[in-house]
Amino acid sequence: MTKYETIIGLEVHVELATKSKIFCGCTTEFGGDPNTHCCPICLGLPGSLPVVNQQAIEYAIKAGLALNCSIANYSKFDRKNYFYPDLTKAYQISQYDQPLCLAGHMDYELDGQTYSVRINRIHVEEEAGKSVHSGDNILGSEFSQMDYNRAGIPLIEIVTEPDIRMPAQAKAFLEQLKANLEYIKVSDCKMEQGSLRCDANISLRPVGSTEFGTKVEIKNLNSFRAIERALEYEEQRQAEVYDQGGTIYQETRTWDEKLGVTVTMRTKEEADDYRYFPEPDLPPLIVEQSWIDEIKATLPELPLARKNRFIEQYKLSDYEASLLTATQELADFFEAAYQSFPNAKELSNWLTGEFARLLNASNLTIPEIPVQPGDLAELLSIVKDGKISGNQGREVLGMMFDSGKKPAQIIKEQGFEQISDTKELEGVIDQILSTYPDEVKRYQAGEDRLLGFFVGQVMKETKGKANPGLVNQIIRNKLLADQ
Amino acid sequence: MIEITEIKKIADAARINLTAEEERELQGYLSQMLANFDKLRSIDTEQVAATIYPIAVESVLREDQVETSLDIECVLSNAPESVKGYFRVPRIMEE
Ligand SMILES: [Zn+2]
Repeated sequence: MTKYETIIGLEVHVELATKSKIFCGCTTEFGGDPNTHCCPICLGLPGSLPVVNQQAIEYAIKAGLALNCSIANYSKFDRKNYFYPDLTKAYQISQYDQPLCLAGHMDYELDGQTYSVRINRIHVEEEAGKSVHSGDNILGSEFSQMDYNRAGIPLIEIVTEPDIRMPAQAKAFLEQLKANLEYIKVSDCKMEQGSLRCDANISLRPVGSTEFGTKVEIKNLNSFRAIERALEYEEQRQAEVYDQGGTIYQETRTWDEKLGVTVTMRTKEEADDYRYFPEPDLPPLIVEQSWIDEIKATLPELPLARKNRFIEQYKLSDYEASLLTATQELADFFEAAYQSFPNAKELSNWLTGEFARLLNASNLTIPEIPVQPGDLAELLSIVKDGKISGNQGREVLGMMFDSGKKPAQIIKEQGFEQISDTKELEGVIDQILSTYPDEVKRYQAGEDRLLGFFVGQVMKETKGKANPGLVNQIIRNKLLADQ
Repeated sequence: MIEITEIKKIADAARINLTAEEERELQGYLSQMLANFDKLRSIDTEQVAATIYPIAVESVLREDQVETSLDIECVLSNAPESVKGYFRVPRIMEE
């Protein structure tokens, strides 16, 4: 695509990880029997009054700060009016012209290049209910079944500027955004549970043009992969329309995952008129600078910055550093273990190898496993000193995961201690060499690969406890000295 | 005078069905109302901040604490129809 430049902007909805809803004390827990997390406020019953959840505002500010936004000291809530059964009140409490967070930016990387996307705004609003379409068809009219457990869960909507230039960038941006939000723990960001959702705007313009083309909004994007595919499809479709001299109309299209196409949902003429007006039931939201500063002080180092620091400070590759900083817990674990085992490369290999495998198999998260960073450091020191082999080390790590015991104790109990006593090893080696005189001759005649055979025999004799490096060295010395 | 097409649009947004007679009646009322706003608009408010809230209350926030929700019977007692714990409503064609 050289004729057109693609312009993409995103709107991301994120459910905040508060315990209770944004305007009432109902639980935000996922699931539950339908309509069991409801009260007069989230049901919109007459006479009920909403009160803002402080934690929701704190999380929204935290997200704003992480995305380099300025936080408004004065913001307000507005009613967005529309009739749809997912709203109990026929309006959604949102923020219209004075949102909480403004004018930020977020960096992300793709194929080794760093890009920046400006954030237009982040506003706070309430989640809508969920409709479960029933198959029953009574007298020709179909029904929807409504569950309002989700209604009133706090949401932030993050709106980007149209700074994204290709579908793959949209995906990379969203992955970075998700990582950032997970790092600051404001949301669990589970797309499959709907706690992170994204709509995309896309338009094309001739290369060199500075004016935007007509944009199309795409909804119903349920995974990052779907977003990339839908944008790729739409990019192609719009290019073809323009190539044939056609016109793109401003409209909302929905992504059909099965067919891999976007389909018109509604045109601009049918667009809702939301008739926003200030929410009279809620006073304006005044945020003191001291509160913002307090929240700022709790912000952790974000994944991209941390990855780059890992590369710089620990001399790790980009790939290793990204794996290690994929979650805050793993990165913290690495840095804590490094204190007692300052060999970053080796530590990284273990953490992204056997440790990651065991963690994955256990279905636990790092804070839930009994292995402490110091334990892993101790184990790696033991392996490095040659007291046990790497294979034995992996076995010990597995037992540490299972039992929570310290490595030294497991090694003792299992009799894993490696034989690094030269005298003891020489005895075993002499015995093996005298058992295989023909092989000794062949080795001495130049059949180098037989060295492995001798080492194998020694390992077998010592039940794997011999220090393989040492065995190698002793055998080579003996056989070559004999000549 | 407000146009009849405008009246139709407002009625549609509010999901109200009006007869032609009601539309004309409302045309009169709303036009009168708008004329009153025109009078207000003639006052110079350049130096006056917009009043959104009638009383001066700022930032009332609550702790993030879970409280007991209503019993399901209670929740559904105002539902026009319910099935298996869900509110049942006419299906809206969209999505
Ligand atoms: Zn509630």
